[in-house]
Amino acid sequence: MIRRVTLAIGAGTLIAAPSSAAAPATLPSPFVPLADVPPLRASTALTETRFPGRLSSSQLVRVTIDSTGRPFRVVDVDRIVIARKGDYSFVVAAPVEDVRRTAGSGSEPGLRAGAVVWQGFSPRRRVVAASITLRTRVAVPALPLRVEIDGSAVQLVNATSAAATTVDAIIPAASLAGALDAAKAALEAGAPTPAPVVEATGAVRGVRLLARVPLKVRGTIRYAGRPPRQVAAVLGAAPVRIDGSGDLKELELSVSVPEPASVLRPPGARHWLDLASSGRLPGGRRGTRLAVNRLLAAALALQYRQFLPNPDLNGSTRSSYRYELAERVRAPLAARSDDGSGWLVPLALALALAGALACALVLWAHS
Amino acid sequence: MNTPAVAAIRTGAALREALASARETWTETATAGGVIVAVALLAPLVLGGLIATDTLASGAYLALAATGLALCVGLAGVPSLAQGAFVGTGAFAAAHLLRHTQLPAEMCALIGALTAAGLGTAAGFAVRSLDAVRVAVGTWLLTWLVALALGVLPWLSGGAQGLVVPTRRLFGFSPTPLVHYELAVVLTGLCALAFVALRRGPFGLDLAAAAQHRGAAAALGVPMERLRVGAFAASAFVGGLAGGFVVQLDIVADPTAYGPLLSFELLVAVLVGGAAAALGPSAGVVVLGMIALAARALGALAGVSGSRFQPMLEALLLLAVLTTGGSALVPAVSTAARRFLPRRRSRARPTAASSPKRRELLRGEGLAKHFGAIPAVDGVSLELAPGSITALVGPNGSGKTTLLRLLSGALPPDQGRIELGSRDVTTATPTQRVRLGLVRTLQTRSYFGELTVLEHALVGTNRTRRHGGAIRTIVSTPLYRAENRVAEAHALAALEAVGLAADASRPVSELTGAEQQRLMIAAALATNPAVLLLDEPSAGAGSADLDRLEAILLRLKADGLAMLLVEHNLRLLRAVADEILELELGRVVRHARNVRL
Amino acid sequence: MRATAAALVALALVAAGCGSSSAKQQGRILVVVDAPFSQSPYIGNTIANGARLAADQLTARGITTGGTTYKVRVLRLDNALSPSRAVANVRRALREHATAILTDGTGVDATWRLAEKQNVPIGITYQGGGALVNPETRPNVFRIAPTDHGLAFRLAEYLVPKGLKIGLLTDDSDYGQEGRAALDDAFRTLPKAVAVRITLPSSAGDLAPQALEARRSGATALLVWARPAVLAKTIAAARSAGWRVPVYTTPAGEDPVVRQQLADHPSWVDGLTFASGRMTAELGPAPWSTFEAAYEAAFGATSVGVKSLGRRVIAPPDYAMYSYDFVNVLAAAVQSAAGTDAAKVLAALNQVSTRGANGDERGFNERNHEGVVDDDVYFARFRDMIFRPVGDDPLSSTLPVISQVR
Repeated sequence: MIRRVTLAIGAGTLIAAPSSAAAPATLPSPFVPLADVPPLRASTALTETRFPGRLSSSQLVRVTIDSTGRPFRVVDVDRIVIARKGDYSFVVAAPVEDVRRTAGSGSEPGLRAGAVVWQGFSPRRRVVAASITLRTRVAVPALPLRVEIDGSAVQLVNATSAAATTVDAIIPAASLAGALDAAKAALEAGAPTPAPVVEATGAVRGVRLLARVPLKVRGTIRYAGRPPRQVAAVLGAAPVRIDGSGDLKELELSVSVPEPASVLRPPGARHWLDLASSGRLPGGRRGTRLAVNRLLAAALALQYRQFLPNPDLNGSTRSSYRYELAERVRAPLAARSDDGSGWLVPLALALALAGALACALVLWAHS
Repeated sequence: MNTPAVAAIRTGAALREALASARETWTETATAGGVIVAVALLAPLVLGGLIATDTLASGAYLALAATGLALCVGLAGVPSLAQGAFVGTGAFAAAHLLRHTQLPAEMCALIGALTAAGLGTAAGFAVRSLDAVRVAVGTWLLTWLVALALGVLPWLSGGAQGLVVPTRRLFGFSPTPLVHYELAVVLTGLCALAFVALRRGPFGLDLAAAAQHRGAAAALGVPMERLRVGAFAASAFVGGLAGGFVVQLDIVADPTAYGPLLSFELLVAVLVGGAAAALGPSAGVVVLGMIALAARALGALAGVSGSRFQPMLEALLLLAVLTTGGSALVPAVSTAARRFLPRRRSRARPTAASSPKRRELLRGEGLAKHFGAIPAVDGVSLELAPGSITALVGPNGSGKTTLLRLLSGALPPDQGRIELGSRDVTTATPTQRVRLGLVRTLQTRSYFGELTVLEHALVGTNRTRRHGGAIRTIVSTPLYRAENRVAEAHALAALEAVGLAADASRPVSELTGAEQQRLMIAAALATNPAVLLLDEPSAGAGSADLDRLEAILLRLKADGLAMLLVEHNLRLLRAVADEILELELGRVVRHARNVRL
Repeated sequence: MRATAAALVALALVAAGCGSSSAKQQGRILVVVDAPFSQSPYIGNTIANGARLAADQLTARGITTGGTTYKVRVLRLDNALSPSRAVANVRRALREHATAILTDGTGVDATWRLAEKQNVPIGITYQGGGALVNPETRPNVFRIAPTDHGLAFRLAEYLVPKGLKIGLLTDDSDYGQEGRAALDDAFRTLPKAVAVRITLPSSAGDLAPQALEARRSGATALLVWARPAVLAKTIAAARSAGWRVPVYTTPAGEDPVVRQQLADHPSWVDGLTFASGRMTAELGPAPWSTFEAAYEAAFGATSVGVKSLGRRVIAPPDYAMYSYDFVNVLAAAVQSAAGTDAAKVLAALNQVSTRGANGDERGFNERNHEGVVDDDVYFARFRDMIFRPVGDDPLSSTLPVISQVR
């Protein structure tokens, strides 16, 4: 009997040995973009890139929507700070339609096909800022929020979702915590790191996930004849619907994308390792799913905080979005020339000339 | 028959008559001029590859301005150095109008021309009685004044960038350099025609007379100052018109383009090409163009810009023409060409016909004139009755000529009164007195050497004309042409009266001294006088001439003319005088009737 | 047999010739220089020489694009500072199918429209007036030269922190009056910094009254915006009255005329500070030195006519650099447009950049047709008849001293 149990245990051990062997699993990196856009890109002729120190860019993306919620104008007010003394020459590649200098800019922006050009000399610290009108068709897919207006109902939809193929494996909580903490620290330092590789127990499978980053939406909506209504929501997967009555007269919404590092902030603790050691971070597939979701969201957050690219790959970039309702103004049609009466004026002139000539002849003959 | 039909018939008849008259007066020179203008119109087709059309157009406008200047220099004999200022005035006036109004381009140019004419009138008024040198200096200063004003008034000139001029259709055409060129050639041709018409007409004759002998012209009542102002105004108008159009060709009113150098170049073009020839200024501009080419070649040799040499070469050419006494270009070519052309049959002249007689009494009362403390005329009274000859005698310095000048208006009296008929003419100008029938001949032989005998007499008839103004002359109205024939008939009658009708076509300079004296009388007679003041008409005359003169004077007396005769020749006095006034120290010391001295 | 072989050889040679000639088509890039050669030979020749140097280098190097090899030719036309002559010159340039027109700026208000009809670009390489260049209303006008706006604002930026009471002296020429407008704009928000504004009569032989007026106003510095001769007279008036006031000025200060006219009093030139476009870039002086050496080899050094510590002083060809750079940008545009089609070249001018003579990137864009940005204005001060970048300006302090003696 004992021999049978021992043999069984031995056989079982032998059978179980392959399934419990460690395998490397690559978790998503928050520095690898998931979606094609943002940041928006454009092909532009190579130009010299030179600047002293670091460039930090803060962008306010103003989206003007029509009565159906469709954006018809996207303007990025891009403010770049050059922190040290020296010459600078760089471009912001973007699908630009127009660019204007904004107040407070220390230099005039230039415009080339697919780029905003900045050139000058920074005496110690210089701020350059421009209002960049983007080609709407190219810019709209990169916007984080979609507003759908159907009659009096307004629906706010988080448009940041992106599909990603990632890992599904049994990973110890401690490994996950370490990877999350490291990713958070890299995001806070602004120093990209490779994708974290951890040891998984058992098979490592690939799985397709839909990631998105939560959006904080604040603003006001006003219907005709009614006082404005405040809007404050965190938009996740589910759209937020706002019902009203009457014509929608005013809509102003500010959308902010969380700091990428804050997406990786552990709930109720300073570090993920603290959560893991206190047993509040699950391990296994559940923990892996949580970590992967957080990392993918952080990657999207990093993307959406850079609507237009920062010429300094290591520079800090921050983007916020503002949506406004306005009436779409159509360009007036060119006036058609009146073909019918084109000959009248020359004929009248010719007749008048002939009459004047005749009168002059008569006057001459009598003087 | 209704009025419009009558007007139409009359207009048709007038046109036919005008065409017939044109055929009759057409000359080979006119044909040549027409051919030249036609060739000029076609020039861009031929020269387009060699010379840019905008350069041709600029040159054509320069020719227009130069032709306008010829009205002053050629007709009036006045060396104006202000034409560049007038061109500039027209240009800037048109430029401002084009920029600030919606007026048609042609109207802007016309207003520019009128503005220039205003300035020209003012300039002419300022120099109306100055001699040639002072006119040249005065107009040169005007040019500098305008150039400096453009330099210091950027609101007027647009500053260093000039005043940019919007382009507007020109007579319905797109304002290309070709259109400008054709317009400039047409305008220059019309201006040349006007020049010819004016030169042949009363305006031109009067100006020519004034240019050749001011004293004689004044004695015949030629309104020299008014004519000179008119010449300036006309010259400025044409210059302003050229400026008003050239600024539209250049599309910018350039303050540096209308300065003294332009005035100088225009004068060079006129003098080199021929001031008295209608197309002379245009030929002069062509010469300037060739000088520009030569300057460019010199500049290329020297390695500097050719424009540095251009003014120098122009000045050298002008010096050469003036100092060698050479003929201007067009007159020289004309003279050479005439040798090969058959002598033109002279046209038929009208029959001599005297003008209706005017008979008035001239009365002078208490006339006095002092020169400082010296009384030249002191309390002289006299009466000249129709059909009488009063002789005025006395030693030299007795006041005879001064009295004549008082009576003719050449000098204003300090005291006294002069009446012609019932009219007080004490303050009337010489021109007004001639028109009223009081005319004088000069003591010295005074004639217009470059005119013919007939033209000399025609100067006198100009005072009697009512339809001889500049505009009528240019467009040759029927009344003008009719009056031309009448004037010529009267002039021939006056020449017949002095026995010079057969010499009508001869140049005055070919006459003898006595003939010239008689011509002076004929010119005075042509003014249709009531009173004739003759100052020593027998000076230098031989016995036969004296007989002839005596017969003339007796005939005129018999005709009812009142005459005052200043004479030293006793034989003539005895033969013709009815009364004799003897002056001494400005006073009448003796008054005799039918007296033998 | 021999005849057949000979015929075949001949045929082969002909075919080779035809083939080779069709493979290398020849093209021409014509740059017309419309400048005041007769009235201001220094300016005219500087612009033309810079263009010519670039043209010769590009031709030697060969510009090949779209199967065609281009030679660059320069044609000089004199505008004599006359706008109407500039119009005539531009008409001629257009008749000769110019690829671009380089000018000092005379008559651009009138000529740009003519050139724009045929999409021909005009490059201004001297005058800095603000109204001359506007990418929206004058899409074919470009400039590589310091602008009046840039000079005025940089001067204000440099002088105001020094706590000076500035006397603004401008002459009555168009240059001076345009400068006056630019200075008024720059000092609009700093009225307390300006002690007095005086107009200097260009024709006056002596500017002592104006200098006295400035002194009486309490000015502790003079900012003179005038042509070189008038600037020299102003300095002479101040110094001969014993007034050691610091004098600041525009690029007119480095014009040889100033030093020539004050050659008898070299100490009067000491301390004169002028603003101008920088000659070197952050990359260092090497590119500029290469350009200067090539310029002097081709055209000789421009002697100022004075000496510094016994050595001959020369004027660096900084304004020639602008026309040189424009021709190079033009060549880059032709390559980008794959030919000399006017509309394509004009569009390409807004998209291309090239390495300038001083090593900096030089180019234009759709919003900005200024090749010298305001930031590129630096300050230099004279000592012993040569100038050095000042040390109390962030940009100027980074620039090396250019050798000006031979």
